[in-house]
Amino acid sequence: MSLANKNVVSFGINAHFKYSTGMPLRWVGMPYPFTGLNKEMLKTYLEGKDNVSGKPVMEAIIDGLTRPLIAEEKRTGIPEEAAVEPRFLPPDTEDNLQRLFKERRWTDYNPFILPTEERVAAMLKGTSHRPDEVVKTGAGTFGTTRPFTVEKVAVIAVMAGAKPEYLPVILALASQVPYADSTTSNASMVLVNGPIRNEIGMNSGIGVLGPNAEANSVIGRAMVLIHKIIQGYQEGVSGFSSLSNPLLYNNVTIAENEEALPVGWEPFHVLMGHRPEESVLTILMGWNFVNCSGSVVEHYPPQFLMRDFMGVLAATGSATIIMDPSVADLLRNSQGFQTKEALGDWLSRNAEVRAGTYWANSIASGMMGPLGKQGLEPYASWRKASNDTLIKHFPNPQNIRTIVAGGRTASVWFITDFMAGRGVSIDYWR
Amino acid sequence: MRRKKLLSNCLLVAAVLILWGIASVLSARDAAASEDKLITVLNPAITEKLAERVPLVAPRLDTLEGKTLYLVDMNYEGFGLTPVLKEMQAWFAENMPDVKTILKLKSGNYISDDPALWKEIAEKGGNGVIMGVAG
Repeated sequence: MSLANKNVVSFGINAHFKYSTGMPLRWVGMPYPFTGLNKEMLKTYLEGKDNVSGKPVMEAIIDGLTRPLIAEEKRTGIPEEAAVEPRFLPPDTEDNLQRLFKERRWTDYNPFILPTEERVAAMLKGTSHRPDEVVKTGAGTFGTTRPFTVEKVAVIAVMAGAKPEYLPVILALASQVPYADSTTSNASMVLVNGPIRNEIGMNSGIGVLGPNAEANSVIGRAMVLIHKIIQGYQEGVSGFSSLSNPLLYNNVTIAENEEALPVGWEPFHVLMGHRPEESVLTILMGWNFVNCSGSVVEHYPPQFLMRDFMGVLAATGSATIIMDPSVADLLRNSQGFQTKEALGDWLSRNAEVRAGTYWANSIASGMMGPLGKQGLEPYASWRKASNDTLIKHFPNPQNIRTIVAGGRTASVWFITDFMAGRGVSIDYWR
Repeated sequence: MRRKKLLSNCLLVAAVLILWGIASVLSARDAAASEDKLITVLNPAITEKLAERVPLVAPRLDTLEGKTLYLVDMNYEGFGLTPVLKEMQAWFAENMPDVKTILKLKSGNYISDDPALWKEIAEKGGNGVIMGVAG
């Protein structure tokens, strides 16, 4: 923001953390949250202590506006790098190294394999890319510059327990950092399409969402380590997800059961513009992951229950349905949905929620509310609607997507509010 | 004959026990050596490049007496002013009545810029800005 250039003293109130991206703003941190509190409680906050300085809040604010600037706050240019990390760690015993990795938070706290030079060299045989090739530069939370190489990804692949043939998938995964983080307990999903699914033994069939296949488990775990080590995400330091999300243990790492798609239903990556023979990795992010609670029943076709359950998915206007092939067959052959897009179109026209419920979601109100205020439809009309007015909160059918996976042992499905990136080539990293 | 067979069996058992003992000692020694063995591993950590510093250029105020402060809501909820900033305005009115405070809601969502507001604050003689707040 350019406020500082207007020669106006600026001062931010926020949670307790220091500047780390080059902006030496002065902060005051009050207790959290502010939302929904009465006047007395808010007054208590203002009369309480600043989380940053320990002074009374208002005294700290006045101090921030009046205390003369110090040299550190007037610095310009690019400061020297943070401590340069050597390629190798000093030799040590296995126990000590395991302890060190935990102390530095280079772990998900499950047992991991130490990345010796031999193991990393063996892992690098899984790609034709040079070890010193930079995969990405802007990799950190808050967009900080954390350049990393193919070798660093191979190190993490070793730690996660990957086979060399998984490395192209893990490199594609790493190329997508920074992953989305929010204090609001979001999660990620990793979807793999194309020939590599079967080449490396990814599960797309029975038990696909559970811990039932080495490739799914290890690749999902690699994402956890990439997030922590490459992106530098540390809960309570660079991220503040109060509840976090159990889906982050494995990031819902699955392959689509392309072989089980009904006639006319295209694979996920093809609908995103890729060729069928390409191997593609797609990262999705969202908050809600809702089970259909039992299997499909005769007296209420699945699209109706999907429509009903979409009432709780009010965040972004995006939905992703993960359905067993038996459900896909039923929707196509008995309910007439000849394509995935036809299902998305029907759900877009039929899913509804009360306007009050929609705007009660802070993701929707924070992001779509201002758009409505600026006159953009449908948000402008939704803002004016009474709380009880039903609105069709998935206005874009293209944002309702379907993944077919599972083993036909039950006609089950999950509906989520996960939204997808376009997907990236895994073949590039072979 | 029977005594001879018993003696032979005893010797066999003794030999097995001795061999087992030796093996255990060797195994323990190997394990200890393995635990102490130094390993060299690659460092997973990334060298972070620090961002270019944006200096604070506005001199701090010597006093707030007679000054105008803008209390800017960053529009986290997207639906209007946060009560805590209204409460802060009331605090100034009660405790520092010589300070003029003006509440403003930033346009756009909480991560978008609002150059028009910064311009307005500068042109209307704002002396300071207190901006917040999320959640």
